[in-house]
Amino acid sequence: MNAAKKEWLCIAGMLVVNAFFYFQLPERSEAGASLFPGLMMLLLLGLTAVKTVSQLRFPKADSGGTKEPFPLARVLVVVVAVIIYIAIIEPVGFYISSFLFFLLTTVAIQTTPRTPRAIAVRFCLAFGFVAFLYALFTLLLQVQIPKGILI
Amino acid sequence: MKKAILFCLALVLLSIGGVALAAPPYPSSPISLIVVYTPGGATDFQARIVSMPAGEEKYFGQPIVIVNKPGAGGMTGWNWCVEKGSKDGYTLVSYNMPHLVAQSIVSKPSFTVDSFEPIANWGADPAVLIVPKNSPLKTVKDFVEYAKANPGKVTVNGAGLYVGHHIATLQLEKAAGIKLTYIPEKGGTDAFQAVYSNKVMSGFNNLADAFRNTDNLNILAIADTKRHAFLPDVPTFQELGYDIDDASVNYRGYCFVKGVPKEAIDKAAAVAPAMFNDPMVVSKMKESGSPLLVLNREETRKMFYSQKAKLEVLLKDLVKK
Amino acid sequence: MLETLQHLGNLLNIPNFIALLLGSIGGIFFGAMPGLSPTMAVALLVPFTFYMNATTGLILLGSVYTSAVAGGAITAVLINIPGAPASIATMLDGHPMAKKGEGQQALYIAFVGSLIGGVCGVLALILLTPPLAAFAMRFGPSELFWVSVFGITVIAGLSDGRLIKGLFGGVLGMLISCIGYSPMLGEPRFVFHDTLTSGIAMVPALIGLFAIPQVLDLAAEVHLQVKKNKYTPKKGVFWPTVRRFREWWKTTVLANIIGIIIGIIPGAGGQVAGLITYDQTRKLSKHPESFGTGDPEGVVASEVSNNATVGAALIPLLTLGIPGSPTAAVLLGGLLIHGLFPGPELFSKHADVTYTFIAGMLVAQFFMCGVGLLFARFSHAIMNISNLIMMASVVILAVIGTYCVQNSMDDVIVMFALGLLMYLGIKAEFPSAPVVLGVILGPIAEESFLRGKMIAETDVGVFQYFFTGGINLLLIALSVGSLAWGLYGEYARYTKRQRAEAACHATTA
Repeated sequence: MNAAKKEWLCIAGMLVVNAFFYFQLPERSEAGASLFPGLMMLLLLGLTAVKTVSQLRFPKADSGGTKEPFPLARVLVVVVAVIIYIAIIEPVGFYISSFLFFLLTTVAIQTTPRTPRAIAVRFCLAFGFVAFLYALFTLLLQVQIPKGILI
Repeated sequence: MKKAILFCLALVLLSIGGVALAAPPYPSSPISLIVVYTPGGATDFQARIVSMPAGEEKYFGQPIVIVNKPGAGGMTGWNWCVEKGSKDGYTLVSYNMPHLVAQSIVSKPSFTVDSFEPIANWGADPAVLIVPKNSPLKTVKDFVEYAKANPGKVTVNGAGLYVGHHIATLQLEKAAGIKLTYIPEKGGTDAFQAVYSNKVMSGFNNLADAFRNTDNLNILAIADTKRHAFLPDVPTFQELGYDIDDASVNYRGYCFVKGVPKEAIDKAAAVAPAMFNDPMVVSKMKESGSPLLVLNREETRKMFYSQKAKLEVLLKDLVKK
Repeated sequence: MLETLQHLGNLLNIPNFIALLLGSIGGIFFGAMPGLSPTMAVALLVPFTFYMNATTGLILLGSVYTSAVAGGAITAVLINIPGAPASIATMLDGHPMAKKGEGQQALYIAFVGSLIGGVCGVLALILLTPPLAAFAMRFGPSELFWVSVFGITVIAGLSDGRLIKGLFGGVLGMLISCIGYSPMLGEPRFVFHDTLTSGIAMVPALIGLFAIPQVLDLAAEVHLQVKKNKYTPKKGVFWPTVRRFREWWKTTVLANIIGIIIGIIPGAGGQVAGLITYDQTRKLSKHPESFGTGDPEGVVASEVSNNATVGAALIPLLTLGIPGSPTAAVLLGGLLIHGLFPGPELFSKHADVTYTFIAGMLVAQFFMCGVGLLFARFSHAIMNISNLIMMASVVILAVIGTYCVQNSMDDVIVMFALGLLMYLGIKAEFPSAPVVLGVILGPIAEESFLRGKMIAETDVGVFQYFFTGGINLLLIALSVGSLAWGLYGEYARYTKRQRAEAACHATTA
């Protein structure tokens, strides 16, 4: 999309943020607690207004040139993978979920050929990394890490 | 073939039975102690000191590991314990009276005093009224007279909202019939700084911290029912004629969330008081200036409910609808 | 001074020496890992010091503190993620340097700068404690409020040419910091989901806002691996780089002054010092446009300043028991556990322990520099790790780092959510540094304002409280000056760009 459209989308986003916080504002029970956020929200609204005016008067021009297509699929896969990872940490345990995340996500989005040898190397790398974290956090520092049913 | 299956079945049954019989006594693995304040604070390092000997056989036989869950003056951590904490007996919780009760009365958290099963108490840190060294208010009498002459102008700070220091301030207001302005600070040390540098006129703060800093401030009185060994010359408010009891004293100790198996409760209640009285703990607490007061389960439970009653009366004006 | 030198010898006994060595190595490592901050590193080690004697324990904690602050530069430069809040400013010029192949030089500069700053900070502790401690005591709520306002004016400068979006981000950051229970009045604000009851802590916000977008960028660029430069270690770069410090002496002096002053102010710490110095250096420089593209002076400003805060933060801590930074607060716990009460007693009854500790802090700076430089020599190895592996590792480190701050999975969820939103923001050209600055400074500004107001209302009245007093006026003047200069600079840049674009259109039309 061209630069101008992008800017309008941006402004729309800013308005959404404004609205979001506006509907969350607590009732004016204690003047003190709403003072600062209220002030901030006014500033936010003001800035959005300035941006709108600025875009109307000095519209942003395209920078020109071709860009590489954005690898949406790959990024989405990573986002979904992280969400699943975070979700399974508590039931399954941190170290196992980390291992799974590392192995499965990297294999899923790699652009180099997925030979059995490459996957085996990745497996060892994942294992090594997680083992290192285990040694550091659980053994050495004795920090409590979500255990889950496994480890 | 049939014989083999029968044999296997028997083996399995036997081992299950064996495991059940040989179930390890509590505790069989390290215990977590949830401290609802930041590392380095008074509650945190006192908790660390008193839990140090836990690994010895005569106490728990397993180490106690501190897990910090700070936030919202303790409310975040206590909410977590009640909502998501495990009830298998391997999660101890450190409590702070009156914070626990005050928060459950004034805010709307998921817990009340009844959500917790008291085990033992280790410390009792009374609040003391402090003023900067060069303050013109040299006794409580001066203080009260000045406050009567200037209602609302005397600033008193403390380590937060609805903590012991705040409660002591409210009690002083009621007992002396004066109006003070309470300034909540971020923590005990911040509160001290403001008093030393004359940014506020006075403050309520922990006895432990105040008594280490007598070069920079004067301690006018102690909000407790009797004088304290660390400060034998400081009078209690009661002696001076103001009816302030120990509702503001900061009691700290162990408790469990209700619902923990009886075996765990009994074991913990049996060994914790002894552990708190361990010579190493006693000396380290004294070294760091932290007052030790060991109460067993029954005494702690009594304290929980007597403090709750006092605080309910005191705070009922502040209850949010 | 004399006493410190006398106790220098104590550092040679085995336990102390080992503490220095392990503390420096461990500290750099901790500082480098995204997610593990100096405060957390010291907090995790305090229980271990129980079993050591007081001196050794304190030396360990002190060397970890100073090395962790310096170590954050490693990830800031190499992978564009600040290892510690103090390294945010280092990242702004350090990473561009690394991309240009000058990563090794950037790290050399960072560590030598940290050494200089660290030594100056400790020297301030040794020589200037009485006057500086008295100075620290003059900072009350109103002064702290104006300091935070001054910090906020820096936001304009960090917007990288996109002033409105930068300001929006900064204000948004401050609004985000209000989520949770109001610290002064105990009221819940913006808590629209359970995960937010404890608000948004700084380290999860930091990790979320910087690490997650970086991770997603790495994921998007996986296929660029093939075309990536192979980074090689360079020989003979060290001494020329060090010699350049002579041309940066003004920045170094400024950074030391700002770092020491912010270090002694209770409440603020390395996080803000680095950013403020970076911004002021840029404003006073003859070539401000080069900042952000890989100007080594930016790295100097940030690293000298944030290490100077370490020694300075110990001044109010040791004399009055009031920590000058969040990490110093944890150190306070460490002191108390060993029965060492801050105050004159520390320097008389416990002189042995204290002066050995201070001597240790001085020597620790050199150890830290040594370990860091050694690491820098081999830093190319990290630059050569494939995007794929880096991405996965950073995610895991981000998760564990966030979790460890408050033992809360909620924080991890918040971290990731913030990260996703910031990623969208970056794609829409919103800069991330202002948002973080807003999150850090928001609470300080709000609390000091409210507290000041409460006190002022009983006394001289709000206006007089905030607008009179030597320090207040000085800070107000600095803030106005900083804001005006920043806005002017942005405006000049903006019109220049408009003119350039118009000319471009004119020629192509």
